[in-house]
Amino acid sequence: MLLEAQRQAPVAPMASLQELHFEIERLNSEYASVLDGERFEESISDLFVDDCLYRVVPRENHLLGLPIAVIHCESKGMIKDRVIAARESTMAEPRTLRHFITNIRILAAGDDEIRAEANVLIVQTMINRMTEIVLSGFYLDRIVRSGDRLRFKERLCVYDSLLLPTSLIAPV
Amino acid sequence: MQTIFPNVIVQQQSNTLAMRQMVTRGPHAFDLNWTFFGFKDDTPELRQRRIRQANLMGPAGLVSVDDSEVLALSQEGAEVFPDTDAVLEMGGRSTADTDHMVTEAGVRAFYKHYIEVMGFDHAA
Repeated sequence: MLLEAQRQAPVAPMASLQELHFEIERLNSEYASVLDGERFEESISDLFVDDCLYRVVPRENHLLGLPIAVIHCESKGMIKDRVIAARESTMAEPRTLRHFITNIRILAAGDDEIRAEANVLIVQTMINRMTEIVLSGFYLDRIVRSGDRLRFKERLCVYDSLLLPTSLIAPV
Repeated sequence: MQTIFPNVIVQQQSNTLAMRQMVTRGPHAFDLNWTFFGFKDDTPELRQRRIRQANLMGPAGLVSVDDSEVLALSQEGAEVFPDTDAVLEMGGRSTADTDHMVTEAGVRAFYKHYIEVMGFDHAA
Protein backbone atom coordinates (compact mmCIF):
# COMPACT_ATOMS: atom_id res chain seq x y z
CA MET A 1 0.00 0.00 0.00
CA LEU A 2 1.31 3.43 -0.81
CA LEU A 3 2.23 5.79 1.97
CA GLU A 4 -0.39 8.31 0.91
CA ALA A 5 -3.14 5.77 1.41
CA GLN A 6 -2.36 4.96 5.02
CA ARG A 7 -4.59 6.22 7.80
CA GLN A 8 -3.55 6.94 11.32
CA ALA A 9 -4.50 4.36 13.91
CA PRO A 10 -7.91 5.02 15.44
CA VAL A 11 -7.67 6.78 18.76
CA ALA A 12 -8.65 4.25 21.41
CA PRO A 13 -7.45 4.62 25.02
CA MET A 14 -6.10 8.16 24.96
CA ALA A 15 -3.44 7.82 27.66
CA SER A 16 -1.76 4.72 26.25
CA LEU A 17 -1.70 6.09 22.71
CA GLN A 18 -0.09 9.27 24.02
CA GLU A 19 2.46 7.18 25.90
CA LEU A 20 3.16 5.11 22.82
CA HIS A 21 3.58 8.20 20.69
CA PHE A 22 6.04 9.55 23.26
CA GLU A 23 7.98 6.26 23.32
CA ILE A 24 8.31 6.31 19.53
CA GLU A 25 9.41 9.93 19.71
CA ARG A 26 12.09 8.89 22.19
CA LEU A 27 13.20 6.00 19.97
CA ASN A 28 13.56 8.34 17.00
CA SER A 29 15.39 10.92 19.07
CA GLU A 30 17.79 8.29 20.31
CA TYR A 31 18.31 7.02 16.75
CA ALA A 32 19.10 10.55 15.55
CA SER A 33 21.37 11.26 18.49
CA VAL A 34 23.38 8.06 18.01
CA LEU A 35 23.86 8.63 14.28
CA ASP A 36 24.60 12.36 14.54
CA GLY A 37 27.00 11.76 17.42
CA GLU A 38 28.61 8.85 15.54
CA ARG A 39 28.06 6.61 18.53
CA PHE A 40 27.39 3.73 16.15
CA GLU A 41 29.15 0.77 17.66
CA GLU A 42 27.72 0.66 21.13
CA SER A 43 24.31 2.02 20.28
CA ILE A 44 22.82 1.85 16.82
CA SER A 45 22.45 -1.91 16.69
CA ASP A 46 20.81 -1.78 20.14
CA LEU A 47 17.94 0.09 18.54
CA PHE A 48 17.20 -2.87 16.26
CA VAL A 49 16.17 -6.42 17.13
CA ASP A 50 18.52 -9.17 15.83
CA ASP A 51 16.21 -10.29 13.05
CA CYS A 52 15.57 -6.93 11.45
CA LEU A 53 15.36 -5.25 8.08
CA TYR A 54 16.88 -1.84 7.39
CA ARG A 55 16.73 -0.35 3.90
CA VAL A 56 17.37 3.04 2.29
CA VAL A 57 15.59 3.43 -1.03
CA PRO A 58 14.76 6.25 -3.44
CA ARG A 59 11.04 7.03 -3.53
CA GLU A 60 10.85 6.09 -7.21
CA ASN A 61 11.92 2.53 -6.42
CA HIS A 62 9.54 2.43 -3.46
CA LEU A 63 6.53 3.53 -5.49
CA LEU A 64 7.32 1.25 -8.42
CA GLY A 65 8.07 -1.72 -6.18
CA LEU A 66 11.63 -1.98 -7.51
CA PRO A 67 13.71 -3.93 -5.00
CA ILE A 68 17.13 -2.30 -5.26
CA ALA A 69 18.16 -0.25 -2.23
CA VAL A 70 21.21 1.93 -1.73
CA ILE A 71 21.55 0.29 1.70
CA HIS A 72 20.03 -3.13 2.30
CA CYS A 73 20.55 -4.87 5.65
CA GLU A 74 18.67 -8.07 6.47
CA SER A 75 19.96 -8.44 10.00
CA LYS A 76 21.58 -6.59 12.86
CA GLY A 77 24.85 -8.19 11.73
CA MET A 78 24.59 -6.48 8.34
CA ILE A 79 24.01 -3.13 10.08
CA LYS A 80 27.15 -3.75 12.13
CA ASP A 81 29.02 -4.46 8.87
CA ARG A 82 27.89 -1.06 7.61
CA VAL A 83 29.13 0.62 10.76
CA ILE A 84 32.54 -1.07 10.54
CA ALA A 85 32.81 -0.07 6.88
CA ALA A 86 31.99 3.55 7.75
CA ARG A 87 34.44 3.55 10.62
CA GLU A 88 37.37 1.60 9.30
CA SER A 89 37.43 0.87 5.60
CA THR A 90 35.77 3.77 3.79
CA MET A 91 37.87 6.77 2.91
CA ALA A 92 35.59 9.79 2.90
CA GLU A 93 35.60 13.51 3.47
CA PRO A 94 34.86 14.16 7.16
CA ARG A 95 31.37 15.48 7.79
CA THR A 96 28.81 16.14 10.48
CA LEU A 97 25.29 14.87 9.88
CA ARG A 98 22.14 16.12 11.58
CA HIS A 99 18.81 14.26 11.52
CA PHE A 100 15.45 15.99 11.94
CA ILE A 101 12.75 13.39 12.49
CA THR A 102 9.24 14.82 12.74
CA ASN A 103 5.55 14.23 11.99
CA ILE A 104 5.37 10.86 13.72
CA ARG A 105 2.16 9.01 12.92
CA ILE A 106 1.12 5.69 14.39
CA LEU A 107 -0.46 3.67 11.61
CA ALA A 108 -1.35 0.56 13.58
CA ALA A 109 -0.80 -0.24 17.22
CA GLY A 110 -1.08 -4.01 17.57
CA ASP A 111 -0.17 -6.10 20.58
CA ASP A 112 2.91 -7.56 18.89
CA GLU A 113 3.96 -4.80 16.58
CA ILE A 114 3.50 -1.11 15.96
CA ARG A 115 3.58 0.35 12.49
CA ALA A 116 4.60 3.99 12.36
CA GLU A 117 5.98 6.57 10.01
CA ALA A 118 7.90 9.82 10.37
CA ASN A 119 9.30 12.48 8.10
CA VAL A 120 13.05 12.90 8.01
CA LEU A 121 15.38 15.64 6.86
CA ILE A 122 19.11 15.00 7.02
CA VAL A 123 21.68 17.75 6.46
CA GLN A 124 25.43 17.51 6.39
CA THR A 125 28.21 19.98 7.02
CA MET A 126 31.71 19.66 5.63
CA ILE A 127 34.54 21.63 7.16
CA ASN A 128 34.83 24.07 4.24
CA ARG A 129 31.29 24.37 2.93
CA MET A 130 27.86 25.60 3.88
CA THR A 131 25.47 23.01 5.25
CA GLU A 132 23.68 21.04 2.53
CA ILE A 133 20.73 18.69 2.37
CA VAL A 134 21.58 14.99 2.18
CA LEU A 135 18.04 13.80 1.84
CA SER A 136 14.43 14.59 2.57
CA GLY A 137 12.06 11.69 2.97
CA PHE A 138 10.23 9.48 5.43
CA TYR A 139 10.70 6.41 7.55
CA LEU A 140 8.26 3.50 7.48
CA ASP A 141 8.79 1.47 10.63
CA ARG A 142 7.75 -1.77 12.26
CA ILE A 143 8.49 -1.42 15.93
CA VAL A 144 8.37 -4.09 18.63
CA ARG A 145 8.75 -4.11 22.38
CA SER A 146 11.91 -6.00 23.23
CA GLY A 147 13.36 -6.06 26.70
CA ASP A 148 12.89 -2.72 28.39
CA ARG A 149 12.26 -0.61 25.31
CA LEU A 150 10.92 -0.26 21.79
CA ARG A 151 13.21 -1.42 19.00
CA PHE A 152 13.02 -1.44 15.23
CA LYS A 153 12.01 -4.68 13.61
CA GLU A 154 12.04 -2.89 10.30
CA ARG A 155 13.11 0.60 9.28
CA LEU A 156 12.64 1.69 5.70
CA CYS A 157 14.07 5.10 4.79
CA VAL A 158 12.48 6.41 1.60
CA TYR A 159 14.13 9.54 0.20
CA ASP A 160 12.36 11.81 -2.25
CA SER A 161 15.11 12.68 -4.70
CA LEU A 162 16.78 10.59 -7.37
CA LEU A 163 20.19 12.02 -6.52
CA LEU A 164 22.27 12.07 -3.36
CA PRO A 165 25.16 14.49 -2.80
CA THR A 166 28.12 12.23 -3.72
CA SER A 167 27.63 9.50 -1.12
CA LEU A 168 26.07 8.08 2.01
CA ILE A 169 28.77 6.79 4.33
CA ALA A 170 27.06 5.64 7.52
CA PRO A 171 23.52 4.34 8.03
CA VAL A 172 20.93 7.14 7.96
CA MET B 1 33.67 -3.93 -16.24
CA GLN B 2 33.31 -2.35 -19.66
CA THR B 3 33.64 1.38 -20.30
CA ILE B 4 31.89 2.80 -23.32
CA PHE B 5 33.52 6.12 -24.15
CA PRO B 6 32.85 8.70 -22.92
CA ASN B 7 30.25 8.25 -20.19
CA VAL B 8 28.83 4.74 -19.73
CA ILE B 9 30.15 1.82 -17.73
CA VAL B 10 28.54 -1.62 -17.85
CA GLN B 11 29.64 -3.85 -15.04
CA GLN B 12 29.33 -7.19 -13.38
CA GLN B 13 30.64 -7.44 -9.84
CA SER B 14 29.90 -10.86 -8.33
CA ASN B 15 26.16 -11.20 -9.07
CA THR B 16 25.35 -7.53 -9.43
CA LEU B 17 24.71 -6.37 -12.96
CA ALA B 18 24.66 -2.63 -13.33
CA MET B 19 25.11 0.28 -15.66
CA ARG B 20 26.63 3.59 -14.63
CA GLN B 21 25.91 6.64 -16.71
CA MET B 22 27.57 10.00 -16.17
CA VAL B 23 25.53 13.08 -17.06
CA THR B 24 27.73 16.16 -17.05
CA ARG B 25 26.33 19.26 -15.34
CA GLY B 26 29.04 21.77 -16.27
CA PRO B 27 32.68 21.94 -15.22
CA HIS B 28 32.05 21.37 -11.51
CA ALA B 29 29.47 18.63 -11.29
CA PHE B 30 27.99 15.53 -12.86
CA ASP B 31 25.12 13.19 -12.08
CA LEU B 32 25.98 9.53 -11.76
CA ASN B 33 22.97 7.40 -12.65
CA TRP B 34 23.02 3.78 -11.51
CA THR B 35 20.78 1.20 -13.12
CA PHE B 36 20.77 -2.29 -11.62
CA PHE B 37 19.23 -5.15 -13.47
CA GLY B 38 18.62 -8.87 -13.38
CA PHE B 39 16.96 -11.38 -15.65
CA LYS B 40 13.27 -12.21 -15.82
CA ASP B 41 13.98 -15.89 -15.25
CA ASP B 42 16.31 -15.36 -12.28
CA THR B 43 15.45 -17.71 -9.41
CA PRO B 44 14.21 -15.98 -6.23
CA GLU B 45 17.52 -16.94 -4.58
CA LEU B 46 19.58 -15.31 -7.31
CA ARG B 47 17.34 -12.23 -7.24
CA GLN B 48 17.86 -11.99 -3.48
CA ARG B 49 21.61 -12.38 -3.95
CA ARG B 50 21.66 -9.55 -6.49
CA ILE B 51 19.75 -7.30 -4.05
CA ARG B 52 22.18 -8.15 -1.23
CA GLN B 53 25.26 -7.64 -3.37
CA ALA B 54 23.95 -4.30 -4.60
CA ASN B 55 25.23 -3.13 -1.18
CA LEU B 56 28.65 -3.05 -2.84
CA MET B 57 27.62 -0.47 -5.43
CA GLY B 58 25.76 2.80 -5.73
CA PRO B 59 25.96 6.03 -3.69
CA ALA B 60 26.32 4.06 -0.44
CA GLY B 61 28.22 1.15 -2.00
CA LEU B 62 30.73 -0.55 0.24
CA VAL B 63 33.29 -0.54 -2.58
CA SER B 64 32.14 2.43 -4.68
CA VAL B 65 31.89 5.18 -2.03
CA ASP B 66 35.65 5.68 -1.85
CA ASP B 67 35.81 6.30 -5.60
CA SER B 68 33.17 9.04 -5.51
CA GLU B 69 34.68 10.62 -2.41
CA VAL B 70 38.22 10.66 -3.80
CA LEU B 71 37.01 12.07 -7.12
CA ALA B 72 35.22 14.86 -5.23
CA LEU B 73 38.37 15.62 -3.24
CA SER B 74 40.50 15.62 -6.42
CA GLN B 75 38.05 18.03 -8.03
CA GLU B 76 38.33 20.35 -5.02
CA GLY B 77 42.09 20.29 -5.39
CA ALA B 78 42.01 21.02 -9.11
CA GLU B 79 39.28 23.66 -9.33
CA VAL B 80 41.00 26.24 -7.13
CA PHE B 81 43.37 26.88 -10.07
CA PRO B 82 40.90 27.41 -12.93
CA ASP B 83 43.44 29.02 -15.26
CA THR B 84 45.95 26.20 -15.21
CA ASP B 85 45.99 22.49 -16.04
CA ALA B 86 45.96 19.83 -13.37
CA VAL B 87 48.02 16.74 -14.16
CA LEU B 88 47.51 13.54 -12.23
CA GLU B 89 51.05 12.28 -11.96
CA MET B 90 50.75 9.00 -10.12
CA GLY B 91 52.71 6.49 -12.18
CA GLY B 92 54.36 9.20 -14.27
CA ARG B 93 52.96 11.42 -17.03
CA SER B 94 52.61 8.91 -19.86
CA THR B 95 49.61 6.91 -20.96
CA ALA B 96 51.54 3.68 -21.56
CA ASP B 97 50.19 0.34 -20.30
CA THR B 98 51.61 -1.03 -17.07
CA ASP B 99 51.38 -4.43 -15.42
CA HIS B 100 50.06 -2.90 -12.19
CA MET B 101 47.24 -0.58 -11.04
CA VAL B 102 49.30 1.98 -9.12
CA THR B 103 48.96 4.53 -11.87
CA GLU B 104 46.60 7.19 -13.14
CA ALA B 105 47.51 6.38 -16.75
CA GLY B 106 43.85 5.50 -17.36
CA VAL B 107 42.70 9.00 -16.40
CA ARG B 108 45.47 10.63 -18.46
CA ALA B 109 44.62 8.45 -21.47
CA PHE B 110 40.92 9.30 -21.15
CA TYR B 111 41.58 13.04 -21.33
CA LYS B 112 44.20 12.69 -24.07
CA HIS B 113 41.60 10.92 -26.21
CA TYR B 114 38.84 13.32 -25.13
CA ILE B 115 40.93 16.30 -26.24
CA GLU B 116 41.46 14.67 -29.63
CA VAL B 117 37.83 13.73 -30.14
CA MET B 118 36.59 17.17 -29.11
CA GLY B 119 39.14 18.86 -31.35
CA PHE B 120 40.41 21.05 -28.53
CA ASP B 121 43.48 23.09 -29.28
CA HIS B 122 45.64 21.85 -26.48
CA ALA B 123 49.17 20.60 -25.86
CA ALA B 124 49.13 16.83 -25.34
